[in-house]
Amino acid sequence: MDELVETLKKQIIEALSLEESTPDDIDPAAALFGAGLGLDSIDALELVVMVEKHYGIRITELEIGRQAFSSVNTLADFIRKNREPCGESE
Amino acid sequence: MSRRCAIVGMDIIAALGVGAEAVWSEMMRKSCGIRPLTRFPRGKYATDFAAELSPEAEGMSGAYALAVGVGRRLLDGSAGAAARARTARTGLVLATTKAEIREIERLALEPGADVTGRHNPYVLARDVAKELGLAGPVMAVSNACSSGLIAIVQAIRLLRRGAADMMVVIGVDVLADFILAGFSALNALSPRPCRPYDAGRDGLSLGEGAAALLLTLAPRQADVVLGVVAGWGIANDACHITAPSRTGDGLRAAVTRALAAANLSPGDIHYINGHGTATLYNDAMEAKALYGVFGDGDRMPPLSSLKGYLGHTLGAAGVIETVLCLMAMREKTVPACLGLERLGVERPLNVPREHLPLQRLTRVLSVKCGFGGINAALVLDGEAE
Amino acid sequence: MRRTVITACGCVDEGGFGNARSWTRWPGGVPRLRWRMFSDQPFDRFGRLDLLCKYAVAAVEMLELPPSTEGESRPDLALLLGSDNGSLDTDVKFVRSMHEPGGASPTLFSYTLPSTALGEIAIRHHITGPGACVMAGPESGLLALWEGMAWVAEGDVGGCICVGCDAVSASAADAPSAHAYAFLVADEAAVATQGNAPLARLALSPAPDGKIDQTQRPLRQLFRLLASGGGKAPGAALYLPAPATLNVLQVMTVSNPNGRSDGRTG
Repeated sequence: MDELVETLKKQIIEALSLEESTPDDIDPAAALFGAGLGLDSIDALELVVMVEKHYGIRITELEIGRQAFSSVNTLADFIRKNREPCGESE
Repeated sequence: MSRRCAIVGMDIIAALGVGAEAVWSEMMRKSCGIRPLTRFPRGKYATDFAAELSPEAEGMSGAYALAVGVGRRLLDGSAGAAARARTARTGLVLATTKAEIREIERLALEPGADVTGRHNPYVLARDVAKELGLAGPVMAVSNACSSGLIAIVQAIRLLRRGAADMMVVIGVDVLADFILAGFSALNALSPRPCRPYDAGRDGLSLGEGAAALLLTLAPRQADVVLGVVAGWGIANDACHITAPSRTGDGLRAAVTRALAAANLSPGDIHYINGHGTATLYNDAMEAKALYGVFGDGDRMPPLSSLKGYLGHTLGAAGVIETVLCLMAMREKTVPACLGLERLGVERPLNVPREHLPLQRLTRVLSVKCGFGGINAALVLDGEAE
Repeated sequence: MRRTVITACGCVDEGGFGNARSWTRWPGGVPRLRWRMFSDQPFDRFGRLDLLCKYAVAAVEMLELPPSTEGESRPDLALLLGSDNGSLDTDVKFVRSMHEPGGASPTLFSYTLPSTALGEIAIRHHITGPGACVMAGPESGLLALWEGMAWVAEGDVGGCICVGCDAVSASAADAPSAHAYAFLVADEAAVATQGNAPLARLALSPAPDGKIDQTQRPLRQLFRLLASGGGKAPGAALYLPAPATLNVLQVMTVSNPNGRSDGRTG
């Protein structure tokens, strides 16, 4: 089990107020946007805030964000590659 | 009693100056009121530019001072009509998105702080009405960027019902960290002065200001009738809470309703005052909607956005820009779309980059589109009945 | 001027929630609102709505509007919201978020406008008619009803959903409140051709010579009257003086929809 993926699921649920979802409901490989969880453009911006808040990573380019947020797995990969050595909130 | 409502007084305080003449004259010089921030930190938000009030407005700090300031100028300046306004049953509709916003900032960070309560739009309206000596009906309208036009409509409704003899409409919004932070978070700001309808447009520029109108259904001989509200239309996109609909159906419906109410066809319009915030999606949607009503490029009336001069004044925009439409009719000049260099919307709109004098400029359509998908359109007529 | 009737009502307040058909009491104190309390249709967005929008959307859900699909919009239905505190609850939360790591929340910012509630209702029910958010202090909800009745009576629209909603949590105000009342006001003639039975008829009269006190929580009184079937009782059931801020000497009378003492239509 990937701890970062599980943590991210909880953080996404909290950041986007997905009250009716549990971490088990979120398939880490499935698309977050469009068909997946049905998130929209404001949710994408909210995830940018979430990533900075918990991992200290600032996403400034739209395209970088778009790729990072494809799925929970891609987001986990992105965070592993870019996060600062200290300051994570796990 | 006429279905058409006369506008017998107007005034404005914004980035380019104090008073309709002053602002218009700066616009005719193509002055851009969107300048580097002075009251807010640079390097903190997604832009270092905004259309802060001009130095002439110094001393009018905050929404209350600005609303009272523009209201006093209106009631001092409308000669006979103003004298009647102070004694007759005259009410106030105030258009604003965030009222005395600095009080919200204080309340949030220091609970129990001593504030006037004017962070509440109605309290602001009530206090402004009292200070101006208006004893008729009072309410606030808060409909995002469409607040101004909807407030004008509400005022006319009250006049038609006989709840007042004259109505003052004031639109006001002021800049604050709250606003800069919020629009930054939405990724909606241009880092430079905005470029409405331009191929390279990249977001809006914020502005602040206030404007006031004096309305009556029964103007007297001695009144100066600046224009007449001939019709309106309001429609919701029912699509998304911040993004405009991709099809433009809501705006199209609002415009169609407004023209029908004014008993006019699209070909009768001489100038369209667009919303033109210079975001990618707003301008694209607007182009679709307006082109859908007005048809092919050759016959389209000239269209310009005024956001390049004064920034996006949010809840005040509908009233501020109506004042400028009245000036355009008086001066028979379509103001250039400042900030536009190369048209970059999906339909061939007719957007002048230079001021355009017209033989005849008596029928103006003004449109505004707000968060929540609310679209409003107003038809102004410069000719007497 | 057209004759107007109320055809549906909805309420979510400190007592519970419901409409003319049913009422559910809160078992304990007011809980956090969850969508499944109000409907078994899916609505994933609900959790993201702010407090004001949750109350407003839930109260409108109680109206039990006939479902519409995305292709069919309702251009002849208007939306009016009256709110005393507007978006204050979210405004305060947003300011606090400005100072948190990660920065200001874009979602919260979208809700720092009371008119967003109109947007949420319009999206959910595909309502493409006109709308307005009016603010007039504690009587804002009554003003929304007053305006809605006027818009229908004046022939601007065939129907209007009027919502009086105020929702401020203790974190934002000394006096927290949370309630929403929704009423569907419609053109009586149109309703009659559809064969529906209205809950009550509305009319305006000049205020009587004796003073009528401003009603305490007028929309709550109106809801309770309609929910209990009292709108169909003989005679005028309720007098609501005009919102004080309108400065007009008028009352809205709420009475039996067809003027018959037995309450039957037709």
